Amino acid sequence: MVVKNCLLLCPVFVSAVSHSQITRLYSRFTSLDKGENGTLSREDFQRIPELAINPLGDRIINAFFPEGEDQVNFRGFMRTLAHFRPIEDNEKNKNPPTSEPLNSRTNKLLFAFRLYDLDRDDKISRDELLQVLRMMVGVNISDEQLGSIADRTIQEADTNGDNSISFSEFIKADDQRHERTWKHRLDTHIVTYVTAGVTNAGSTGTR
Amino acid sequence: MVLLLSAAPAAALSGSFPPGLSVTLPALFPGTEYALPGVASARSAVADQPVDPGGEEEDATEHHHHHHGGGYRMVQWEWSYVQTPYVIAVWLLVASVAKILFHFSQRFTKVVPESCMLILLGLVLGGVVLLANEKQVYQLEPALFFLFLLPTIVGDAGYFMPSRLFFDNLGAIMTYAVVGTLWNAFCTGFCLYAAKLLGVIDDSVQADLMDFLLFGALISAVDPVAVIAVFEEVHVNEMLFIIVFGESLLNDAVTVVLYKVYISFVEVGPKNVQTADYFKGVASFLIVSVGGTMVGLVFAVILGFITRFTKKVRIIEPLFVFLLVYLAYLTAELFSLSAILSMTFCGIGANKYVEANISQKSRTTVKYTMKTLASIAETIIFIFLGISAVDKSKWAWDTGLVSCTLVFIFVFRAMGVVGQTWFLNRFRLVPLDKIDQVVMSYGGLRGAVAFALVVLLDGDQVKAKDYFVATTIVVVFFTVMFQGLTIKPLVKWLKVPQSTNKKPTINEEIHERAFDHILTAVEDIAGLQGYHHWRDKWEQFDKNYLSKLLLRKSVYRKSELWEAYQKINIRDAISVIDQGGNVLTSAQLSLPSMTSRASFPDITNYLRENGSGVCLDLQMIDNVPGAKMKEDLETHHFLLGNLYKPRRRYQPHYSRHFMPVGEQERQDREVFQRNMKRRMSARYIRHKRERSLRKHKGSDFKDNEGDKSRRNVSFHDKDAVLVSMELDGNKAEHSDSEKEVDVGITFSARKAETPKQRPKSVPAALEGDQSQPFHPLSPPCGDSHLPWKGGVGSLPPCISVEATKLIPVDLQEAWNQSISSLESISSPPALTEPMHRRVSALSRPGGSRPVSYTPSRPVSYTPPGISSSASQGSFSFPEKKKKELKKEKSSESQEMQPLLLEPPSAPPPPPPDRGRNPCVYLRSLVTAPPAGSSELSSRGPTQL
Repeated sequence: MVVKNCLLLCPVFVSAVSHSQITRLYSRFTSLDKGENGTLSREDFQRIPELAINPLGDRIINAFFPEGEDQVNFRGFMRTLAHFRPIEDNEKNKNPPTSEPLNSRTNKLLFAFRLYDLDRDDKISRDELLQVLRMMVGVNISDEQLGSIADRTIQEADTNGDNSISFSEFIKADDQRHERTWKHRLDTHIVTYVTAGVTNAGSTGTR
Repeated sequence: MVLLLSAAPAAALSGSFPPGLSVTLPALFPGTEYALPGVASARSAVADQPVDPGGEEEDATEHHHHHHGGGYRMVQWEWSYVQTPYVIAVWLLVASVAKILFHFSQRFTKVVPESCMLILLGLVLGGVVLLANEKQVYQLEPALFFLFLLPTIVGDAGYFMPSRLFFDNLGAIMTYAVVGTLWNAFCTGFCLYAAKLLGVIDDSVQADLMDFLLFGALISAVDPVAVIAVFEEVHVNEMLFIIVFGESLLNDAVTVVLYKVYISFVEVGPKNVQTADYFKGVASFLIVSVGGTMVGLVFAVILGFITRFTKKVRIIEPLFVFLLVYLAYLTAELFSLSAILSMTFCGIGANKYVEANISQKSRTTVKYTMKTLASIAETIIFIFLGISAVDKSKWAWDTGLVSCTLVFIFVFRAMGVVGQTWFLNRFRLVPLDKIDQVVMSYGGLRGAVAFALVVLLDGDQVKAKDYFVATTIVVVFFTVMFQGLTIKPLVKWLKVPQSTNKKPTINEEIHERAFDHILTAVEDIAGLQGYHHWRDKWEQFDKNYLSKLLLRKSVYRKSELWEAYQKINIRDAISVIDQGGNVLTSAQLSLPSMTSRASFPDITNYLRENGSGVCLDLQMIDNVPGAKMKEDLETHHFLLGNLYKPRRRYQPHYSRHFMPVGEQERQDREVFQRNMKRRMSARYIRHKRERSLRKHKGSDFKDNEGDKSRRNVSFHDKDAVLVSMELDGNKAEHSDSEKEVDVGITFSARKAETPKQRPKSVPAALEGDQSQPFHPLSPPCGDSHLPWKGGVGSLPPCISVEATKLIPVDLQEAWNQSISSLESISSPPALTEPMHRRVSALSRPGGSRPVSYTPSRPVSYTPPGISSSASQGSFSFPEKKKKELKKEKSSESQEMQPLLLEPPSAPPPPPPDRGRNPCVYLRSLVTAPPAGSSELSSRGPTQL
């Protein structure tokens, strides 16, 4: 029932995500929702054991929460996950959405960009980059080493000389190779697992 | 018995003299055959032959034969007595030494698969034996192979099979194993027959259709031993590996049935075969495969059940594992079911429960022993394959047959793979691409199973047996050696165009890795593990019935994922807080259930491969060096070496030769601790911000403000650990804001009483004079006889029974300690309040204060908890530690701040229970239902 309601309320997803996908994600949502209050808190996310060993786990959790919110409902949950839907060529959108779909490449990149850009000034400053780097590297790297990497990274991507990476620069940095791996991953693999698997629910194996 | 007893002194005597010096004594026993029949019979191939003096192993044992002279001999030569075990041991030694030698040169082993080298060695040894003896005495005997060598390999493979991966791809595996093998068998058989009719194959090969079909059946099966040996060294992705490997295991049933059916057909003669017999063949296939599987599963259940009760006899736990897995094999063999299937499924099925039941040491023992046995069995198989090939007496060469067979098996394998993959790809999530198909076709290695089967043929009925043997040997050698040798360069060559287009920039490198992590996390959040209906069902069934039956009670409870997580959280919280002292590393934390669970979330092939760093390294080498380039390179290498790898879905590879390294574990630990720290400090920051907000507004607004800014009830519930640090940080802070904190803390610990208590004490706190709020709180801190400092028996009420229940017994002490250290960092109010407030407020309204406490000393304010506890020397948080902590906090606070800048837009304000003491925090961290659920229940999903 709730799912049906949700479908009505989230036209974005109706076109994009199949009914069974939503059903499954909804059951996942409820299983995460230990408080059984229809929303997920950060706590709920933090209880996912794998996230505790994901270097960027908490950043990603935060990405689920719009500014100023400490709870995310199913709709918000889906909205964030929808970023990761693969773009399917063969999928026929009967009602092609007028706005750019959430799972467009730009939006996916934006999602990643936001994880770096903590202060939401649409720039990744050296500090912000450094923080992410720090999260992602082992403990045996010194701060100087990391600093120099951050410098190099910014220097490499920075075209307008403001010593930070803007979103356009970010896209460009990834553009250089996206044809090959990145795009491939983003568009096919990622969430073939997240969403497409649902369509096979019931069939045996991943075949 | 007599023999045994008397042999012992004889052996002892002979040991003390040089072998040449034999003093004659009255022979106590005539030197007849002492070989133990039990050992000898099965290994007759090795044992029963007299050891030839020219053989290599003879060097080690220079000897004379029996002297049965009269009189007493001080030293006797008891060769026949020890012969069997001796020869076996020497063979094992030779095989092991050979392995050592091969692994001397890393570069060499990278190019040449070990299996090739072993076969070559076998050829050389066989040649030596043949030269010396004129007759090949050592052979790969089918009985030896099927009863001893193969089970060790299959048992190892089954037990350590990455089961999730296996079942994920079960559909594909079954298709390849059944359809693919049938296709190969029939096509090869018929085409060989056609070749015979066309005269390509010499007339001397006396075989008709049935013989060729039989030969096709035994030559078409992909061999598990060869596949493991070769694929292990070619680093293909896991999915590919499991498909080929799984196929090689499961096609056993097909091979066995086909083999038996044809044998019986050949026996009765093709003319007498009736239509019904074909159906019987099909039925027999079903029985053999399903029956074998069932036998395996039954033994898996028995094994799981037995290990439930081995608590008192830990030392024989590993034995049960070996015995039952082996019995599963033998039992299936007994009923002529598919033994490989039986053993595989026994291993797969029992693994989870056994691993959970047996002790850590037993696990290690099982693992090492299995790997050792399998490794040595594999070595022996390959060496013996080599040796057997040198036996001229069994050979009958026909070029036409050999070349036709080679061509046919290769062509049909490729066609079968392409066809089936095309079919499967229509259903698969992750399609198998062209490279995968090439690898699969090319990796269809034949091995010792085919050889053993062909040797088993009855030469009287199958006239062309010698030709078949020769052909099989050539096929095995060709696939293992040539294909095994070239598959690696082939894979590399195929992949090169894919990965050297461009070198990654630093940006790409970093962002890519970051995105890998993001993807992993999203996959985790979306809960990929359970989206197959049947898998959900199975897990449910497993949880409800099987686990209860097969797991120990204690394990069963802990094995639930959440409980494992709780445990980890507790331990790690302890180690994070308690860093100075005896840090409990979370390396110990990786409980079986945790690791097995933690290993599933998946990274795709691409991630897996690129994540391994090796591929990227290859790219590095291709770069043209330049000054800047070089710098870049260094950075790359540096990053590669140090960036955290995205978690893999499965343990890297099923590997025989290498035990998994602790790398991933270390990373997990690091990340985990960091995350925990960050989470704790995040709470701290939140709290701080709230407070500073509050500070800015007057104390009149406090309540409203507090409510407003308290957006997330369940989150704030957990808010407490660092409340006290706060006091450090804001030394100048007014006590009225502290009052507020105190109030909050008070009620948070006892949720049920929140509504009642609040009206009472809030006014009290607000209206009272400045020192007032402290004073009920401080005394407990000053008290030297705080209950939980006394001992385990008297835990403070705030930790309460529920909390202690969560803590594993062995951790109690550590837990208590860290609780107290938490206490000393956190403000006394935060801590002591919940349990003492009411009591003390009533009993000692104007009660004593800690000596160190001075209400009107805002600037040099010292948190009473610290000072008091320090003065008593009971539990003081080391000053240095504190600073470190603070430093960390502040550095992390910068990072967290922006994220947390959330305007107080707001859900309905919950009661002000944001402050919490650390133990409550810890508990809330580890217990499932967040507090405050009741408050939030109004915000149902309908809000969407």
